[in-house]
Amino acid sequence: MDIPGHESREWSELVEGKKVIALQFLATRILVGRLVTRYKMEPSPAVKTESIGELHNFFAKNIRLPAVQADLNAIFGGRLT
Amino acid sequence: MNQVLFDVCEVSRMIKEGKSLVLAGDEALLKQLPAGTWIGGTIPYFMGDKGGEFTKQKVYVTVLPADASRQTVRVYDEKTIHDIYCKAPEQGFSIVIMPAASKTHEVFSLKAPTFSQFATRPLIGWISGVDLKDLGKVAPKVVNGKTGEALGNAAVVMEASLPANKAAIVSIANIFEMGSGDSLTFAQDGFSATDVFVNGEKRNFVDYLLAKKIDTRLPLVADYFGARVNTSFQTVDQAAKRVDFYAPVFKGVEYKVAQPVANYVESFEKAISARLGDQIAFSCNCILNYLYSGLEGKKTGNVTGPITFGEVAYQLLNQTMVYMTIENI
Repeated sequence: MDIPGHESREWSELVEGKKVIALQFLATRILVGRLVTRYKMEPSPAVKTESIGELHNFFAKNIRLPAVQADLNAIFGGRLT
Repeated sequence: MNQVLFDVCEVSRMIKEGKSLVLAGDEALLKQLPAGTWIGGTIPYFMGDKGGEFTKQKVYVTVLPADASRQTVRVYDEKTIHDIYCKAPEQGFSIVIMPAASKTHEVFSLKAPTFSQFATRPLIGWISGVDLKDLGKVAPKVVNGKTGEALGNAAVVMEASLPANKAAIVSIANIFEMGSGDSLTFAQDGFSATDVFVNGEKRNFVDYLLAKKIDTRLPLVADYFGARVNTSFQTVDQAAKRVDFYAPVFKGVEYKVAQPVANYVESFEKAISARLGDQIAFSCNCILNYLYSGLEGKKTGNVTGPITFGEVAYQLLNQTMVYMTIENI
């Protein structure tokens, strides 16, 4: 499964807290929860960029796990293969 | 159910056989063990194969899974703990133990979510403690099995690699649900709070807890995209008008007091699969669950482990069972 690029709208919406997504994997839940809270406290473009980078790195490192693939697909509306 | 509590002679034999171990027990026992590939932490409370047990005569033994290789013991302190994720194996797991109330414990608790590579690699573990009768008199310790050194301010970590077709999965079993009460937030990160924002309105937290007659055996619960993360009350200091916690509260995170639990053992059995115990490579549960639920002599399904002063599943948690399974992928 390919991981969509940093510029994808879904990453932004996730970090901005605009999407409430049912996530499966514990680490995804904790990381996304933390990044959304951080952005809420400090809603700057720099924080958003940094947070998207952190998410991308997380998925790149764990994409071999089925639950992580499911989480990524949930973030991207089930469009990924 | 397999035996998990052993006497010092039996544990010494396992170490001499070259097994890689994660140990929990009284400091006097851990200090008698020979050098080897092991880490340990002090605690005399356990969920053993016969149920909840207090003992200073036995050591709880976790033998690393057969698939694990390249076992490495690392030691961090408060100045180096930020490397715990960076140095963890890319494909494997890390089990950490830190002494309660140590500077390393404090820094990890407050800062882990900001560490480089946070949550990108499996990290699980626990906070070591002491006999509750010795609180304030005896310091919790961790032991580096490579040297036998007992440390009052450090994190000892057992790292291991796994083959490409295996993965370590860190999970939690939290029987507490968010209650339906007020939304509570805090102005800053910390192990204590004077003020709280109740549905956005600033109040003294002690006054609030007393006025609402809150049962502080119930933790504060935060929802991290479906993961319920607990923060437990330690003390409500009416004179100082300050509330202390066993884990930090974080600025910007919404908390609610947990719903009461009618029967811990039943709730726990519902929270985990009946067959899970056989698949677990490591687990631990919280001393507050042990105390408040009267777990001495009772079983929590077929899951065993040390009873701890805090749990780690990527970050510090309270009143939660954490466990790790090794799964085929």
